[in-house]
This record gives sequence, C-alpha cells and structure tokens, in this order.
Amino acid sequence: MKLIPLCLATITGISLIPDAVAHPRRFAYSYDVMTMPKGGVEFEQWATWKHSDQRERFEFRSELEFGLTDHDQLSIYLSDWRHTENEIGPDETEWRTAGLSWVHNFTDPTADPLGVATYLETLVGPEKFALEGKLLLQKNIGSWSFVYNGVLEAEWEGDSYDEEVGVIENIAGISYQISPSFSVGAEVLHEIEFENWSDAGDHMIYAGPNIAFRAKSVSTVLAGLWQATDVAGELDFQLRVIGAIDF
Amino acid sequence: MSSVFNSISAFLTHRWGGLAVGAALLGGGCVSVDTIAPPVATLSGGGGAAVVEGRRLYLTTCTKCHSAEPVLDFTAAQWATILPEMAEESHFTSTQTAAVEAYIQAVLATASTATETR
Ligand code: HEC
Repeated sequence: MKLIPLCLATITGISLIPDAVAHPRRFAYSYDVMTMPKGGVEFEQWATWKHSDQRERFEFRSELEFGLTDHDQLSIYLSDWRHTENEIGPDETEWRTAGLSWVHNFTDPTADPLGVATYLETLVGPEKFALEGKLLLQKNIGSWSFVYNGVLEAEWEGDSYDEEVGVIENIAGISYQISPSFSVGAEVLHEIEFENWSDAGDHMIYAGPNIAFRAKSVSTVLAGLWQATDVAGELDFQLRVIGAIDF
Repeated sequence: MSSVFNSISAFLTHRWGGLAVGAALLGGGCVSVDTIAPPVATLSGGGGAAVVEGRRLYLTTCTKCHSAEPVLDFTAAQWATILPEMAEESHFTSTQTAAVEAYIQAVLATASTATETR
C-alpha cells in the first residue's frame, strides 16, 4: 500500500520536471565528484542482486536527482525495498527506507588537479535509520577516470532502532572511455562493520568489472563484484545495474 | 589479519595484474589536459573573456557525460556538426555556445598557423 503514494509522487514529479541536462554514471558502487548542472533532473532505478550461501537478495531503489546549483545535487530516495529468498525459512519482501542525500562539489576532476566533493545521506524506514557521510575524490586524465570514496555510516536497525552498527567503507574505481557513449572499468569495495561501534567484524573486500553506456537521454551502468576475501556466511557475489533517464 | 592481506595481494596480482599491464598499454588514453584543450595563453590570437570562459565550459560542463575530447581530434567541418548537437546536450545558452565555439576556433586557428609556418 505504501508503494502507491510513492509511485504517484514519482509520476507527478517526473511530469513536472523541466528540460535539463544529465550526468550519467561511469561507476555503479563508487560515487563520482561531478554534480548535475543547475536545473538538471534525472530519474534513476537501481537493482542489486546479492548472492550468498544462505540467501538470494534483490534490492531496489528509485531515485530522483536534482541539480540545485552547478555544485550542489539533491537526491530523493523515493523508495528502497528488497526481496529475499532464504535457503531456510520463508521468503520476505520488505519496504525498507526513503531518504535524502546532498552532494556538494568543491573542485572539478578534469580542470583542477583533484576533484573533491562531500556526500551526506539520511535514510528512514520502519526498521532502519541511517546517517552516512562520504568524502569523494576523483581525477580524470584523458580517457581515464579514477575515483575514491571514503565512507562512514551509522545505522540503527530493528523495530525500536536498538541494533546499532557502524560501517567504514573504502571504495575505488577506474574507468576507461572507449567512446563517448561507452566505458569499461573496475571497482573495489572494502567494508568493515562495527557492531555497537565496538566489535569489529571481518574485513570484506569485493572487486570486479563495470561497464557503462550512455545515449541521448538515457544511460546505464552495470557492475559485478566478487568477494576477494574468504569470509564464510557473507556475500559471494553482488551485481548492480542502474538505469537513468534525464528530463 | 595477515591472511586477509595475503589474499588481497594474491588477488591483485592475479586478476588485476593483467589489467594494470593492459592499462599501461592503453596509456595513449592518458593525455594531459593541456593537450586535450590547450590553455588560452598558448593560442595565437590570445584570448578574450569569451575564449577563457569557452575553455572552462569545455573542461567542466562538456565532461559531465564523457571524457574531454581532444579539440584537435576533429576538423572545423566536423565541429560544425558536433558542436550544435553537444551545446544542446549541455543545455547551453547562446552566449555559452558562442564562448565554446570561440575557444574551439581559436585552438583550430592556432594549429593551422603552426602547420603553415612549419
Ligand atoms: C548530456 C550528455 C552530454 C554532454 C553534456 C555533452 N556530450 Fe558530447 N556526447 C554525448 C554522447 C552520448 C555522445 C556519443 C553519441 C553522440 O555522438 O551523440 C557524445 C559525443 C561527443 C563527441 C564525439 C562526436 C563524434 O562524432 O565522434 C564530441 C567531440 C563531443 N561529444 C563533444 C562535446 C562537447 C564539446 C560538449 C560541450 C559543449 C559535450 N560533448 C557535452 C553526450 C554529451
């Protein structure tokens, strides 16, 4: 039922948006430093498949991005939901969160020696509240693009938000542009969780290739990451596709 | 812990080693920004405010969707068809389009005088 008002909001949102320019992604897990130009509006649909021994999980996100100024981008995460097929026990479909993020760009990755931006996010749902900050760094050299994201996240999960988790992530990406509409690259994700901000979990590392395609007003990026560490019970593999359309 | 780092380094050497070599071979793509879009000070006609603004837009807005394309990879005739299309993609005002056009023309003019005097 919750989905209906959200769908309506999305549709009305889309029909109200002015004609504007996009900023297609070259990475699926890493955020780049560039923001949309002022007045830009883009709708993005994300889908992530997470495979582990115990379960298959499919996560979905619908997002609207707005260029507030040439250096500030606001994103509205309209709806994050997931479907889980458990090896033992029943399958579950849960609506998780909605939220907001704000990227502020300080310097340009092509024109300046180093592109720098900050990212702040908040997500709220019936069983999850999360705050996240990222430092985004990027350098574009010729057809190459290199990105790094340092991520710090605080999550409160459960019915009464009493399961507290801290997460530190380091994400890096490299992308080579084969033609203006096509690029290929790779991404590496390092993650460590701290239950109650004290007990450090295992270091997890995932790595794999990405591929991005863009045409006039549509673009898509796909990345598959394999677990490079050898931690049992965690994801073996994850695949993310993001499709975008600009208005 | 050390097993983590061993597995990382093993992983990097095996799977990414090949990619790194490939990257080095493709190093042609690693062209400096001054080669892609020559600085205004190096242009024969010098440059007014429009040319300066044109280069800034060329390196910032024109790189929102793809890498900066080397100006000299295209002829004046090719730019005459590419630029109007890309200015539209960028949702430029006519002033912004004129600035980028002025910059591209200045780069092409500098290159052609350099060839003539050679
Ligand atoms: C909204 C995204 C977007 C923006 C902004 C953009 N481009 Fe492009 N550009 C594309 C796409 C997609 C292609 C490849 C397909 C095509 O040619 O339409 C392309 C192709 C090109 C090409 C190659 C054309 C060819 O024939 O090989 C050049 C050169 C180029 N763009 C220059 C520019 C310049 C200069 C600007 C700024 C004025 C710019 N682009 C802004 C999306 C964009």
